[in-house]
Amino acid sequence: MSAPSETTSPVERWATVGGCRIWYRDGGVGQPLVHLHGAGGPSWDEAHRMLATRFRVIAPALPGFGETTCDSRPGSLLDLAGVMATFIREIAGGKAHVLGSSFGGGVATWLAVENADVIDRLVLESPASDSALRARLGDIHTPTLALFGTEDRQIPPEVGRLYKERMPDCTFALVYQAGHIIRRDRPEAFVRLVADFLDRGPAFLVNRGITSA
Amino acid sequence: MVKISFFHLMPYAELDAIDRWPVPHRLFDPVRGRELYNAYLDQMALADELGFDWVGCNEHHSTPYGLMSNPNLIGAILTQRTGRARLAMLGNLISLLNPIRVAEEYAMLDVISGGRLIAGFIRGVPNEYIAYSANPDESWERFEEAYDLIIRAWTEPEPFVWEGKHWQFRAVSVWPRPLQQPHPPVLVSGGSNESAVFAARKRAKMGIVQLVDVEDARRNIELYRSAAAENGWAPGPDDLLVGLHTHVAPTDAEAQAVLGEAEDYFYSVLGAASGHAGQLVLSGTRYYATEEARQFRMRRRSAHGQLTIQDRVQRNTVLCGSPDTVIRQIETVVKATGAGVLQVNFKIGCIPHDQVIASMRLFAEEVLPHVRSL
Repeated sequence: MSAPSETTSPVERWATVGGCRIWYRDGGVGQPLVHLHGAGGPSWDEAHRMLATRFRVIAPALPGFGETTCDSRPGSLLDLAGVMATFIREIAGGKAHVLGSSFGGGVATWLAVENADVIDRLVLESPASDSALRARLGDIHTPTLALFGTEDRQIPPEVGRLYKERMPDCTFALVYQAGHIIRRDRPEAFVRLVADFLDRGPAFLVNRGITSA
Repeated sequence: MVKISFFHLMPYAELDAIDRWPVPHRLFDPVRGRELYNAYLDQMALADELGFDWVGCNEHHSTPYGLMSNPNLIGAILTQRTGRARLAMLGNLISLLNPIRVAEEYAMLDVISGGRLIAGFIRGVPNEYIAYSANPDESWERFEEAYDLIIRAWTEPEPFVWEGKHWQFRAVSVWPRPLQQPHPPVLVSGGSNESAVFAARKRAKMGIVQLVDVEDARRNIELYRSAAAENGWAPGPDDLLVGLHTHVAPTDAEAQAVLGEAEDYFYSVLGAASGHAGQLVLSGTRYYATEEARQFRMRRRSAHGQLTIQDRVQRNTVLCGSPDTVIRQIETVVKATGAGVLQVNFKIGCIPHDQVIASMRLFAEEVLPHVRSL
């Protein structure tokens, strides 16, 4: 199977994984970055295009969304995480960076709890969580960047403190004047942070060319 | 209960005239400067001793108008020279500075003083933008972002990345953090419609640092109150500050003679130094958000400088006279505006140190006790 082109348009593909036929977009070349979308379903935004110039961006439709179908629909966030673990093993070379947005952030966080071996670095964009998931945050050792918009009306940005406090290797980021869908409100800022974190990991705290005060 | 804030500009009122701008600093005599700074600190320490509720500092650059290019340095000295008065830094020019540095220095002042800081967040007059080479078009945006960042820096318990439009930091974790919780009270200027509404939205105190017109001030304060109501809160008297030049003497005539001369010097010499810069900035940039606001401010600025002392007393834009006169004036201003913090500025123009002290003492002994209960 040939790698998709590194220019702007992603290709659309199917993968049979477990009991599901998963539809996904695949664009760019480089380290794989799997995007688990939010309640609005899969998208290909300016942020995806920009990230695809540096990473191979793989954006599946989760079971229950878009054109993905399953023999029996996975019920919980945890079940969805299980399907995605298999997807990453089979499609993304066994291990990938994972970006989870909102509801998909909840799936990505469960993935890090139960299937940490498939995740290289984890980025959470305004992630959803419940008390069960929050209780497990301390078990996640995956290097994680948790992004919250200062204007998010769905998940208060203060929730980010919890992730920072409980996870052993988490960076908590406030994106100024971004609402719930940070990558749409401030695409360049989003990509700058995410790409730098994925490239450099915790060393991304060191300014090597970002504008500052 | 009305509170009284002793405000100081720390002017360098030693020059006969200023005919060019920027004012060359060869005209500053450091030996004389040392005497002035120390006399001014003595005045501020005395204010605390006499029972003034706040002592206030401000920030100005490149001008004899005010020698506090960094009010926090004076604030630091005041933590040691005062015991009770709140330290009102009015204030750091947060659009022009590193917000993390402001957060740190204000936190230091708050901790060392035992929680006495009033944190002024000020946009800065146009002159300062030239001095610090900042684009006045960005003034409001930078102000709002710095404001939010400083509050976060004080209140986030965990380190965080700040991905802003004007500032980006990858690891914000300010030590010390302030003593007052959740953070020191914030005061912003409320002298324009935009700023009054902004103050209300942020639940900050508002100040009209130099009263130009009582009716205008009343309208701004009304706007602030109604915007606050829309945002679900009601300001208390402590949230409203109005400032006036002040001189008290045994008789009205004496007070007017002293302050009249001082005001002439203030407007024609000290004010001229910054005024020229102001014209440059105001006529060519978006420092004021609308053309209407710009025109209004420019007209008012030029008219205000030309009033006589009698005009000013009659309009209650200066507190000037015998103790009884000043008491009545304060009653008028407080009743008209609802302000609960009256800011008084005694060192105006060339008024000598001894006369400033005498005026302060007379105010403390014969005015202050009568206005507290207003």
